[in-house]
Amino acid sequence: MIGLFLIYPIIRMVQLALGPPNGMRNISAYFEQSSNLTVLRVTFVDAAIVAVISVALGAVIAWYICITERRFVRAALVASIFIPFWMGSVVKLYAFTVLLERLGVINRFLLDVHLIHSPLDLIYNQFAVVLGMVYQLLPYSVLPLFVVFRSIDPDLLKAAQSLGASRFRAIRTVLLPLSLPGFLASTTIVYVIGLGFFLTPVLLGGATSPFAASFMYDDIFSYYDFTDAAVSALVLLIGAGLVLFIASRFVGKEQLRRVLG
Amino acid sequence: MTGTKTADRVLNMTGTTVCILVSLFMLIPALTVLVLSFAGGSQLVFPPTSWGFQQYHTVFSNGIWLPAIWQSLKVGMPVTLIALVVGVPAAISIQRSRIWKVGLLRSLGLAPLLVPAVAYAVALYGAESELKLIGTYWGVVFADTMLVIPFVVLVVEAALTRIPRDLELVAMTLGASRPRAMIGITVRLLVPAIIASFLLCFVSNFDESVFINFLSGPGLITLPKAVFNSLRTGLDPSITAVASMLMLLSTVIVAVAFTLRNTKTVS
Repeated sequence: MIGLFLIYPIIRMVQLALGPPNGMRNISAYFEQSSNLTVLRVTFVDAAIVAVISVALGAVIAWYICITERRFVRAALVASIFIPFWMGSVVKLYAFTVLLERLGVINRFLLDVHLIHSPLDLIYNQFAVVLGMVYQLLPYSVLPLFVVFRSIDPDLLKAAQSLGASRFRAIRTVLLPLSLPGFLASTTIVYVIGLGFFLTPVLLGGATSPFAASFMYDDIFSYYDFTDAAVSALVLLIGAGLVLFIASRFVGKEQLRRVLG
Repeated sequence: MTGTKTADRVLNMTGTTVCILVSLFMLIPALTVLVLSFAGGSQLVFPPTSWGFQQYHTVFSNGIWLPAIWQSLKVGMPVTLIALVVGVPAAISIQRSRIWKVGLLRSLGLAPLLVPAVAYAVALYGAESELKLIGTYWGVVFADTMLVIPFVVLVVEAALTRIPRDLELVAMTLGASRPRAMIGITVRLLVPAIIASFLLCFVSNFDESVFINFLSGPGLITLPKAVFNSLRTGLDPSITAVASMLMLLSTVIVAVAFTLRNTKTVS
């Protein structure tokens, strides 16, 4: 079953991507087109920005969930991260549209308090895409980092501090090195998931933030050019594969797998 | 000393601020939707000028949402069941057998999670159009199944590590046949994990919005697809009501799933 619906489609896709009209030259033709390069750059760079922001913010949240002694704080943090997680991805984007629109909630509010004089362009650009993606991927970074932090003995930090290290120094020299593999692993996972995002760039991005995903969709459904879509998909797949490969070299397969669980 | 203390205080304050800001960032969109769902009128205005249950009423009375919800359920059921039928034995063999293929099988089981969704959707589109499955019910079901199998494998495998293998051996020395020991002991102890993965699959499939756009054609409209369509054509306020109900329902289901997942399988 997995063979039929995972391996076969991908093999077919590779065949089609490297098939007519130009065989292997399809790929080089792809890279010769500057619009394709822009799309690739935007996709890989935006996903990277998103991954870094998600993991950085996720780490702080996960750390606080881990160390706080007040149950209320922990419950509030967990709820605020995970209730939106299950809201439905299309609906989240809907919420962002309502908030960010030209006459949306945020612009209205800012106009009403006279902070701005004309509405800000908050939507249909890179900013909106990154914001929307972070919103959706944050839970994916909080969960694994929480698991990582919990496996670290909190007494180690206390020991460092009682030996005279400042809290900052304790975090930098004890906590960070211990959790570094976890950090790298969850950044990788968030990055790879982000590369595959389709709806967010389509609904929040608009023309100024072209993502590989929306290009492929247009290739298939507007230009009926499946080969082109297959080539882009192949490039994306290879990119993601490379990232995973490099990451598994650095932090080990087990670590990557643990992050998923 | 005072230097480090100031630094620590700054650190603490930054941490707290980040926490508060992130929580707000996560909650504001959700709350906006929730608040708007109780607004009256057919225009989307914030803050709402009137209040009421009109949006909820629209959801149940106009002909878009109910069929879409029904379609989602019709896709979700077989998807989850097939995923369990494939995933549970896969997880058991990954965990319990010592053959060389285990690593390969495990990677295969998890692969759909790691292949970028769009690239996978394009590949599936190619394969399914050859097999004439585009726009068909089973085409969508099979594609969605692939996407949720990893959840089953992950959850069941994790639960299996907590069930001692010896229990099965004990049953066998007491005279049970191998299949009987397997089903009577291991599978029975797995029941909470299986229910948990069932719920997780179901909820995440209910939200599947990438494949459906590539594979469903015009005729097959699930809930996410319906929301997507209405988003593209303009902002329909009754989405807020659908979303609020979805949020509530998924939160409850997921809470149940996680409780089951964490149930001690062996006392």
